[in-house]
Amino acid sequence: MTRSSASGRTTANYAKLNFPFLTPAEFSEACESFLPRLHHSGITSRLLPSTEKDLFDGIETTTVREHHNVSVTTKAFVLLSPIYSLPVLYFSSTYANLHTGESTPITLVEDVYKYVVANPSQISILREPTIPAVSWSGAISQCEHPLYHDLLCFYIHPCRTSDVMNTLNEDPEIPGITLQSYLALWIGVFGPTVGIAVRE
Amino acid sequence: MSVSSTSIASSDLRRKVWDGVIPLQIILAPDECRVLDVDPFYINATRVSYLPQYFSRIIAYFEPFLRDHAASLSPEWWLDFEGVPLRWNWPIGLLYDLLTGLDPTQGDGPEHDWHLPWTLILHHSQYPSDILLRLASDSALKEQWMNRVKEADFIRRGNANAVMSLSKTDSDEMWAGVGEHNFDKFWDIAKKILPPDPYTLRHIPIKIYLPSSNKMLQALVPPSISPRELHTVGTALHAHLPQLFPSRRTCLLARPVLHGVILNMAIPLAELLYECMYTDGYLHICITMIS
Repeated sequence: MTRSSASGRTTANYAKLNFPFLTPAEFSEACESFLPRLHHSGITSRLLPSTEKDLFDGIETTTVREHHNVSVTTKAFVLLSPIYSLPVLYFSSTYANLHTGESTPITLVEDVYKYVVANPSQISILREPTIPAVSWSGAISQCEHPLYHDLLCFYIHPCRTSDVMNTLNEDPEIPGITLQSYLALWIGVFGPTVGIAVRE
Repeated sequence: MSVSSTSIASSDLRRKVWDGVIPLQIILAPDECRVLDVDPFYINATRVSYLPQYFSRIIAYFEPFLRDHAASLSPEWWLDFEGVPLRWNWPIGLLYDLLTGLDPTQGDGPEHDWHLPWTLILHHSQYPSDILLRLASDSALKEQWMNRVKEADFIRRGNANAVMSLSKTDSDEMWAGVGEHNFDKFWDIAKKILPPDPYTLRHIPIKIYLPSSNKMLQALVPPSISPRELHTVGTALHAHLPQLFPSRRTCLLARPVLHGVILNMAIPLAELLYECMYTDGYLHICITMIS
């Protein structure tokens, strides 16, 4: 299936051969294209510089959600998994009591669902258990941050990413996915978990 | 250490890896004790297992002496070595090799401190949740382990279908093999998700741990560099850590250690995986500096 592309270089080749998997260079280019979309949607975000020259390791966003009497600040990281060669959403959150200002890191998955995720039942990527034979907390696990080794955070299991992106790619109502549009579509699936939505 | 067999059948080496132990001496932290002079608790921990697997035995021993009795009902205990909280989601053998800066070239001379039995301090209060993953439920360890098992499967094949299609019975059996330290229970199932020929793998699941830091490198290494050249320990380390391993054949600045043994740089990684992988499917290799 061929895809036309305005720039005609990497994006056209990319879409044919490797989809949905990304090399570090392709991911870096996708991040650069995606950043203005985040800014345009009013989301505080920045590119994470890499030790590799001229590349970026990913994107970091900061979002704030007010919920009951607390203000929840979430730093989310869009990073390329070296295992899956797919983007993975990592995040760490703190909640601050609006009266006392006291801030507490969120470290339990139950608290993620309580404070960070709005309407979890409506977010399809969170709904099913990730291994059919075993059920536990679901699609979100705590982990050691892949870039900042002294930090702990959470991530959304990426094992369904490939299926999700293929489904989007086959959707006749969506124009062919390029590096420029990849992350905007991807964030549509994973972003709602941490309150990120990108405007059309 | 030589690897003689590429067969997936049970091997001496695989059994030796399974049987490796680190003797632990557990001391209850003074602020957790109701009384003075509580004797330490001694236990042989297996290198391929995880600290939380021993907590119920350890806490049962210290329970009469606890200042806070309710703590004995809580799963969230933690251990430190020389002030460093131990990551309960890392295998015990890896923790020991990395944190004691194990140098297997040291002889049995009196100057060398092997830190055996390995002395660890047991705590309940002030869980360092900025450093350690939460251990708040009985399924926390299994969840972390299963995530690694899935990843390793994905790395090996490019998908996690083998693990995902295990029946609940098989999946439970494999975990029971880890929990009960039962070689056959574990390997009877593990064999089902490993292709018979390690050279058909896409990549070898490998994590490399750097000394004196929390830095862990996740490397994607294929079994072969070319149709004629296998990836060895040396070629992989040279490719991913060229500053520490400028030579593919000789250790000049640092050494790779696995299960307490210095790895020969010439060992093919694919065979090393099948003989010496941890229960999560990974080779967890730690790097120690040559002093």
